[in-house]
Amino acid sequence: MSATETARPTKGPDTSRVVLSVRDLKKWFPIRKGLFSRVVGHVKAVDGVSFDIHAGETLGLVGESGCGKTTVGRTILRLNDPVTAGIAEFHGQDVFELQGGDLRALRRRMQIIFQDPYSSLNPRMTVESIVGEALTVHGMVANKKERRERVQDLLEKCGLDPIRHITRYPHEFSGGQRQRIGIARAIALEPELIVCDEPVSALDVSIQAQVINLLQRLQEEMGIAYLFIAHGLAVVEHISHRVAVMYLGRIAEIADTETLYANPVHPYTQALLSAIPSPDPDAPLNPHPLEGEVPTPINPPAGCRFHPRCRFAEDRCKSNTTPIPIYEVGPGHRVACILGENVDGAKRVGELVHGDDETSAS
Amino acid sequence: MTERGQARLLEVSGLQTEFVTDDGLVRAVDGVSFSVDRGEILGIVGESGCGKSVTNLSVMGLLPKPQGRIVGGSVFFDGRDLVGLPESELRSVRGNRIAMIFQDPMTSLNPYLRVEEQLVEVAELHMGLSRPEAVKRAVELLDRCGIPDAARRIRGYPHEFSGGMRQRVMIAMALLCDPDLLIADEPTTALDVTIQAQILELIKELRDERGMGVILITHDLGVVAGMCDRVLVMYAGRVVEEAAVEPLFATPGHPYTAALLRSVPTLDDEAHGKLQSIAGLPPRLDGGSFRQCTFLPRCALAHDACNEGDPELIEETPGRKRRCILPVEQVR
Repeated sequence: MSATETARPTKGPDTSRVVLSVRDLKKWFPIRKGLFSRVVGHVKAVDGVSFDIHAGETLGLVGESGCGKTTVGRTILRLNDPVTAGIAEFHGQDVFELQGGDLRALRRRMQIIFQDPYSSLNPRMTVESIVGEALTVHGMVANKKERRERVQDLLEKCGLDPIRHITRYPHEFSGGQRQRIGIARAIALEPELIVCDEPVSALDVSIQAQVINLLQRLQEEMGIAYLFIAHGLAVVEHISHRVAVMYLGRIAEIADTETLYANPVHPYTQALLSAIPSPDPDAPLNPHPLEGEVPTPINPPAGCRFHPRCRFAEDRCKSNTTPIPIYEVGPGHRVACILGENVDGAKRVGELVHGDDETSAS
Repeated sequence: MTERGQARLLEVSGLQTEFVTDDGLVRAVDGVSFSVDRGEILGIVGESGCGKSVTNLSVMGLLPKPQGRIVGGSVFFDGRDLVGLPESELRSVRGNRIAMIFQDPMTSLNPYLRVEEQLVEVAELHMGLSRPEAVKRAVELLDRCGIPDAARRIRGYPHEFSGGMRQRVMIAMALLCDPDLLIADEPTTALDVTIQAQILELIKELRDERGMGVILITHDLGVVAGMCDRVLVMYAGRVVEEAAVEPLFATPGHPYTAALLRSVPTLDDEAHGKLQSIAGLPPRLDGGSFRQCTFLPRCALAHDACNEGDPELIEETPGRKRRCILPVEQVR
């Protein structure tokens, strides 16, 4: 696959160009037990997830710990091989079919930024080798001098000092600066998509703001699409064009950011939003706190997976005999919940099928 | 008992704490004063390294030894100064009267012991209960802290509990001896928002029930707004502002507080706008005195007069202190 450069947009998402299209993605981790490591069950971390990301767009992916959001990001980057089922088309090509050189070429165009700026940088490498390593590996620079210049450009772009910082080691930097090094490394190969896995969760609020602003500026300059995985809903609202809410391996609701935060339809989305502490002492207290915790993905609840914690659950939500409908309740706004039927103009566009648990997982 | 009701529960004045490090002396806490009443929740906010955790480790007498020591000030708890108290007496205060919960519930529980052992040990040691009494009390508290089927779950090991449940176990352990003061250091930072809401609600209910004082250390201003009665904003080892929660959020009196408030993305602000960040990093705290305002290099409102010495913490209106020479109307 040759990297054909197309003109990149400078501002806002280009909805006519889909960068990544994920359909029915499943990633089950086998649980092995006993002498012969017999497979006794599966952790269904991701269980039928579909979404598109457009050029220059940020898709936020939110949910509680263990909902599978990180697994989605890692699986589409081929860091969790093999995939259980589903496809992820990057510019029309299924990433799960790529091998060898083609896979390497893909990695150039899809990058990742990790949550922990402490463990994701090799402590024995200088900033120059951390950021420049990929440039050498992918043959994008001819010699050391050229590499140093490229790295200096990248550091400058990410708000680091290109002269003083380039020879230093990771321990000499603060958390925010380390995250900038991680970002410089991710953009070194001019990728089209970056999976940002909780990139600011480990940082102080004042530093968080600096890193978010940097990510937004880079997106405007380079037209990069982000899959922004986070549990901080306020941060996600700020940076994302569209947001998908995940619960127990499935997408509960997806919509453009404004709609999702203003008119959430799924009870889980509503509960998540009302649980955020507001920095306003006069704000009303959370009227319907969510009780209990996320059930285990090894043996998820029958029917709608959210029903044990749902205030609106009816009998038809609780068994596998009736599939959970997916409604399109507005342009690009889809919700996997029976409540979708009460929304004016809602259209049933599909359903979550149950009972496929016994199909063989490779 | 009447005496207990009158005195301030905790009165910290002029606390100074130093650490000996490879890079020299670090004065992590530099003249911090505050008080906590019974039934009050005091929030302490600030960036990493501002001294908020060290302040509370000093109060508890839990500074790492020999690197850390209190070099000045006093910590009056219920009328008695804890600074300089022998370890044996301090231990009877800690646990019995002051309890602490930490950010990471996994590292604060012993993974090899059943939850029952860990809870019962505390009750036997500090309250002199017999084993059956201690078990009964532990089960009661786990139940009160929202652990379903407590009598059975108490037999489990920490790894069998989820993050939120572990934090409930920690809170139950902290409450075993019915403490007068609970210090919660980032109690919900490692938890999801939905679980965070449950835990915060629990702490509030327990405060109402038992009338304990609570010190809540956090960097989440949303948590502060929802939970606290009064707030202490710390910067570079000092208090830069102290106020009741409503006035602090309505009209911050220090540029640092104002900047912190602006750097939080809120649900109703304009999406994709530029977030206000605070440029630069806090100063090094080498124990020397500051010849200028400590926040000056990062302050958007700085002017010439700010170079002339570090401002004092001044109580301008009752209950409201700030460390800034600008008139309060100009702070934004």
